[in-house]
Amino acid sequence: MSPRIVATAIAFVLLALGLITYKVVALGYEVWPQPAPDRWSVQVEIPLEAREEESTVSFFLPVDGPTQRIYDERVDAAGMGFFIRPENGNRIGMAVGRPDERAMLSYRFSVRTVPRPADPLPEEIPALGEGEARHFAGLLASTPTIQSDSEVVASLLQELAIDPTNRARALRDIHAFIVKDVETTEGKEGPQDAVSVLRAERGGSLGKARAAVAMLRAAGIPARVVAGVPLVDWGRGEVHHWVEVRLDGRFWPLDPIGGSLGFLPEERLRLHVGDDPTVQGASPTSNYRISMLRERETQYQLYRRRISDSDRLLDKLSLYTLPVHAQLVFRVLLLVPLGALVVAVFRNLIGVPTFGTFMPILIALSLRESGMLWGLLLLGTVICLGWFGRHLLDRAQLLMVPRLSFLLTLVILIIAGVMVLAEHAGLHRAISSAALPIVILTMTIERLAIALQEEGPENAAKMVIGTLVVSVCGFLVMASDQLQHFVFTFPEIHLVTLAVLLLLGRYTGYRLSEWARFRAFHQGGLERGG
Amino acid sequence: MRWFQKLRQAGVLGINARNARFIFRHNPRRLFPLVDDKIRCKALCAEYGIPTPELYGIVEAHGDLRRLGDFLAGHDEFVIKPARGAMGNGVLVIEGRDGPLFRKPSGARLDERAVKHYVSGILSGLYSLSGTADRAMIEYRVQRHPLFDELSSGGVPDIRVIVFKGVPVLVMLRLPTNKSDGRANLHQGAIAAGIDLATGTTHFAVQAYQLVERHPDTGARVIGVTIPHWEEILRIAARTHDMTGLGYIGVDVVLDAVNGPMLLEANARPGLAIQIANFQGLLHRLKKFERVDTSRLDVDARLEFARRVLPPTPRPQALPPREVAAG
Repeated sequence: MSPRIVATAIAFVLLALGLITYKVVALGYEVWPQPAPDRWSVQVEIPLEAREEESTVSFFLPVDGPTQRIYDERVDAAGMGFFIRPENGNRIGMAVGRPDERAMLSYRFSVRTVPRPADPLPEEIPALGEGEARHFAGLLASTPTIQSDSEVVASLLQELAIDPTNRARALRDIHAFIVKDVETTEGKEGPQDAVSVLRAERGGSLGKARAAVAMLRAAGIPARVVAGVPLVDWGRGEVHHWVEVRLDGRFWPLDPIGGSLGFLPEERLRLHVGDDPTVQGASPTSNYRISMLRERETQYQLYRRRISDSDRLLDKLSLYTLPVHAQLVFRVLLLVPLGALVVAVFRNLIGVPTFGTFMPILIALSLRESGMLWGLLLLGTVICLGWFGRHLLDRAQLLMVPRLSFLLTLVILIIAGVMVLAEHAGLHRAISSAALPIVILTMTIERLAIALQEEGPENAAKMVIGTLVVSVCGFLVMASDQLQHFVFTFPEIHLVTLAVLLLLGRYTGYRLSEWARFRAFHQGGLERGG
Repeated sequence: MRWFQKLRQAGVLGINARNARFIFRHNPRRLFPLVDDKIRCKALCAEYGIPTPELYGIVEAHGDLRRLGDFLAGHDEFVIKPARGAMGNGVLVIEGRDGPLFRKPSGARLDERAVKHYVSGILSGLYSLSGTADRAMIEYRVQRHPLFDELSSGGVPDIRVIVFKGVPVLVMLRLPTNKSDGRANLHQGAIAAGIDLATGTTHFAVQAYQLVERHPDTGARVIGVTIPHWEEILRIAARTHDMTGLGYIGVDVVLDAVNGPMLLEANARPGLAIQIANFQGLLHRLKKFERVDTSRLDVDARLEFARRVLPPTPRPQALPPREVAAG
């Protein structure tokens, strides 16, 4: 091999490694993307009943706070008037009007959760002062559902020997009682006010939170009920209630079900403060549905933000400075050389025959859009039907250009037909396979038909299998999100691709397939035929 | 790599080495059209006095198709092929007529409309190397030499000579079989018989990677056949190099019963199966001429040179069918 080619290849590799190293070490790029802070997409759906007269449906909307940021809110009020009213630190969304039959009120938003470190609760907090009591009167008052002045609560505090002079201690004792001694239920078996729950010593999340707040308030600890939704992957959300106590100048969360104190056991969306029902006015009220899914904010977006503010030269030259739509194009385009590399390896090192040079790459790209299984299934269907059509067309003896155009139209109609069938079968995944390279597919069908006639079915089958194998390998390389991110962040890696292609282009050794083709020479003779 | 050690020792030429070391280096791209376009090649042959099958006519465009019937009226047997076809694709042989119908060697019959459709496919570039529009040529159907009557079924055998820098290096005889549908393409099942360069006698024969001694259809021995007009065949092959200027070519010569050897076509990217047909690697042979300046030698000197330098092709032992896999 020519030394100049080798030297060029080595120079390319060194340059690429140098640039990547510089970007990682000096500019702080990360080689593989790390998971970024979690974002969630949440949807609240409230089914409405058709009514003759005007009705009002109100529900709590989440607010920004130290643990969450709300953005991208969208409401579909099903033709009713919608407005938002702030009330006691909560936001209430109200839909007013006459809902249609089977109407659905839907409210969607995104939330970014901000993790907070779990601080230990202080060991000692003195009794409630006069000024504090006045200031937090709202968090100490007795209400019809949180009867903190009830006899039942007072006698219970006495029975548990709660000492109001050390409120940190009192808080722990009350919390332990609620978590351990009050049985947790679904919350549907009876009244869920504080006194009923404490009498029965059983209650749901709301009942236990109310009971805890009643006892805390009676012991002189400002407390409130909070409603929210635990965030779980691909989950259906249910409203949970927990407790927040005001001590030492801040609020501490208490979970009366899970038992955590000072922190929450998992990520939770905070919906509203207070023990009012989350949704009011719709009937049946309990029918609303909350669903959510995780939106992973990738490193990609983080880089984008950081690089667009940066003045450093390599940052300025980065692909992240392109407009978003161009970036999306290049994220895919930069994978194509890797696909081409796969093709080059298969053709020149292994010796696999394929239909056309770049057909496998185009197939691999369309597999990327549709997923491998669907893509291959669709590809097989289209090629088989198309070939059948071509077979019938053979009798008509059309001239080549009209014949190919006929075939092209046929291919597009077949794809359209398969799409419609897939849609009716609920296979939405298949739809994106429409990105199949239609013109190339047409030429493939034509060449397949000719190869079948000229080279015989055996050789045609070899080419089909070769094309599929190379396509799938190209797909496996190009499908990796991590690789896609890496190549987009470090496009200089393609200097290495170029170096490999240079060396591959000057490779004059045997192909793997030639080992089989010329087996006579390493066996020292041929097998005798019939 | 140890895997390929034996291939390397035997001097087997692989595709990558053929392309990089011989085609890129010895075949200037600008000369390719001289052999890729068979009409140009034929014209060139006429200029150099190299015999080729007579050209009856050329169909240049679809407009000419209307007159095709009148044109063919003067010929009972002929061959239609694309000017820029590859690997013998797109060749239609007409052996005779049955009233208004044309008869193929396989016995199938075509009407005039089918022939026109076929020619139209050629014109559209269906069989052309690059897929671009092409011309169709109608030429003399080569008459099989009586020697080959028992050695081939269907079509006409041809002799492939690898010519490097004007020196014939390796030769094989391609014999059509029923399996290859009368065509001389090895990957379709034709027999390839290696020919000893010095004597013109076949010494080895394979069909589909298996050693054969007899033609599967006729039962005639394919080994030990001496080709007539051998000297002339080699001279045609060697002179094709002078004519085209291409350093590494495969020259296909046919033996016509009436006119003797004729140049059928030349190929600037000749295949490698000839090595199996001869049980002989090309690389060692090619290397002998790589550093020799043959440009000043005339045809006779080059043929003499080849006989002197190239070793006689050995007759390898056939392996019993199953022991090979074990060894």
